[in-house]
Amino acid sequence: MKRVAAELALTVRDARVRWIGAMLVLLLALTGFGAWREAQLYAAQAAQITAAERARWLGQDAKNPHSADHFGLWVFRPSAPLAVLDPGTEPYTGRMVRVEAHVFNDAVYRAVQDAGPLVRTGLGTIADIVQLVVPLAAILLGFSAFAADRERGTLRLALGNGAPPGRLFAARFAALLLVLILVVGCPLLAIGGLVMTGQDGADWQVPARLLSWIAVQIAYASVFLLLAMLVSLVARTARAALAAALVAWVLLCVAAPRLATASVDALAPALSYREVRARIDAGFRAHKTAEAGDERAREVLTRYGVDNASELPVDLDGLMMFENESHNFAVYDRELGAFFESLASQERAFAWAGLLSPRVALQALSQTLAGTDFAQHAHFVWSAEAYRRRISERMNGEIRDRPQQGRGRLIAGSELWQQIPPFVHAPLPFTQSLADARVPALVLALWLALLAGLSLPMIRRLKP
Amino acid sequence: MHIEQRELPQAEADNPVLAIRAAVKRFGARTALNGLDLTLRAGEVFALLGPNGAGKTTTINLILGFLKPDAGAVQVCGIEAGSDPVGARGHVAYIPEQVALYPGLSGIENLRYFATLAGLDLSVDASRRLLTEAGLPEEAQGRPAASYSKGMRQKVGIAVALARQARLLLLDEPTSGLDPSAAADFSVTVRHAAERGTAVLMATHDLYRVREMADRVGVLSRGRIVEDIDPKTLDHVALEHLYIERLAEITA
Ligand SMILES: Nc1ncnc2c1ncn2[C@@H]1O[C@H](COP(=O)(O)OP(=O)(O)O)[C@@H](O)[C@H]1O
Ligand SMILES: [Mg+2]
Repeated sequence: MKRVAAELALTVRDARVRWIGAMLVLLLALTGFGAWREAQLYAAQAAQITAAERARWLGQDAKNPHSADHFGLWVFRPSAPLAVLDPGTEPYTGRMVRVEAHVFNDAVYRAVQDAGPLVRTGLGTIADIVQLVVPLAAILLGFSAFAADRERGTLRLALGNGAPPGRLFAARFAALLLVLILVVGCPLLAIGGLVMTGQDGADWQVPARLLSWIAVQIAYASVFLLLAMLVSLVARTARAALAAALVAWVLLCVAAPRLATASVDALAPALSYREVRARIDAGFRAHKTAEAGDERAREVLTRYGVDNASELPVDLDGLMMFENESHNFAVYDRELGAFFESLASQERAFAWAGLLSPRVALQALSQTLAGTDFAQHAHFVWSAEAYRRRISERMNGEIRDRPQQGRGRLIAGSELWQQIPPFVHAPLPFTQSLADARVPALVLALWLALLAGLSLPMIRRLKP
Repeated sequence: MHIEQRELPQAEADNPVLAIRAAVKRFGARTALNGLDLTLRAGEVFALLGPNGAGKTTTINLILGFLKPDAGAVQVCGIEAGSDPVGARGHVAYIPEQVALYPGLSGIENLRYFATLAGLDLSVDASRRLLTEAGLPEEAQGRPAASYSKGMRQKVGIAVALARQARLLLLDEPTSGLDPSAAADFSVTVRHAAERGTAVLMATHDLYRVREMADRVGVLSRGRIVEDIDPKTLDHVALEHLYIERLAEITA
């Protein structure tokens, strides 16, 4: 403890440390505040448009229920509160989904056109800073830990007078880690606090997500701190240590993630979206031919034991529409289910690709804990689809159950519209996110263990 | 020195503090030490005499475990320095030839920092006493070490080593940065430490100091100690003569 305090005192006297700290705090504060404002704006817009859409749905003219189904409405994906810290997949997926008859809107990779201005300007997010700039800062803090002492000659005096290398390393690591916690952890906590005051993210379990998210970022930063200190254990000069650590940074943070993406694409390719859509169309087409329709109509008459549609207790068109939709739902489930599963398995492969780069592991971990991962998006898409199907089934059911017997088309009014509840999306619970975070967390832990394991023998052999 | 020395059990005090047996150290084709033997008991002051490049610093690096011997053994208080350098260094205090300090810290802060690293808790008062003892003037003790001369840094190094109260004190050319009066003071300090039971190994080529500080003088030549004598038995002239004779052998 005394050693840590002494190291900390020495560290904070270093002008370089103060500069790095100030820059990080400033950068995180500015970016975080910007993202928070952005999120507030988005939340307000989403609430406004959601209310307008609800009013538009309820206020629509009296019309045939199927026309109302086509009339449709827009639903919003609620942004995860911690998207302020890590927007994850949110900028690359649609924020609004149109709910309408027959069409499953999947809102995958809707990319830039409805992404926020922050992303459009390429200004960088908190996650970008934590993934790229914080490791750099950790390296700038750690590279001199032993190399500068070796170069100056103070390491000789210290080691020759009974400073145990293991404790020296531990104390220096602890002191630098405390600095990182102070200049990274605290600003992140403050931004998280800001997020919590503004939004009612109760079903997001924001505090638990925030704390685990920050812990993971600190763990990631310590990977690079350890790396820099490890290089510093053997480098002859501080300059050589810095150069080597920077090369490692480029490899791990810039080059390896590209390699990871390329290998995941090669080893676990996603299904082609166009082919999936073509298979869906084919599935519909086979069902939609005139002969198939006549066949199903005859089957219905047989089922009810009547010769003529006018003798049916139900509306034939409504019934057939209802049953056709069930068929379509099954096609969607099968084809888009496979498509989403291929994307999800890519995500899983990506988490393992973290073995190539801690940044890749962190990316997966960070999005999952923030609630902005692909799983959350897929969950939203399917819950919007479930809502759409409820509307279709209610509208088609209304037609089916009210046969008009030649009185023309059924016209429904606002009592029916009101039977459709507003869309409410419940995100995947935190426990689910934790389960999804297991692999990337393991991979990040492996990185820490690897570096700690490498440094142990080097610490024992520490020379002035 | 006003710091109390730890009591040593009699049996431990009888064992050599330093035992080097047939140590060999090569740097590539160059053999720096070639079967060096040296035993040092508590309270003894041994001067390792030799010209530049004779292998004095190499010997000290072996004792500190900074270098591993290619053959032979180096033990500090029974601990093998090659295999357990940290354990061996636990008994050693060391003043390198060039004492380097943190330039932004004062003498007191430097001393307290190095003491903390060694696991000692040194108060500001105790630090002042030690620095004064080592010969660093009071008014300089609070100034940043960046402004210190080589001799002043050396004195802080002396204080760092003294604070350790170690069983073995290693001095590499300790008087090289000191003015004559400071060197004389330093001789007294070293003698005090020896009286309290510290074994002292001093690498030097300063023949003049050797006589007033050392109990034994070893002349290092061709990587071994070729002469182990009591300097009191020789006068200055005889000592110098002997040394030059040996030097001539080396350069021959
Ligand atoms: N790290 C090293 N690499 C190569 N040669 C060395 C190294 N350290 C010392 N030497 C050589 O070993 C010999 C003894 O050096 P040293 O112990 O420093 O001498 P001294 O301290 O007596 O002046 C010298 O010839 C020196 O050049
Ligand atoms: Mg030397």
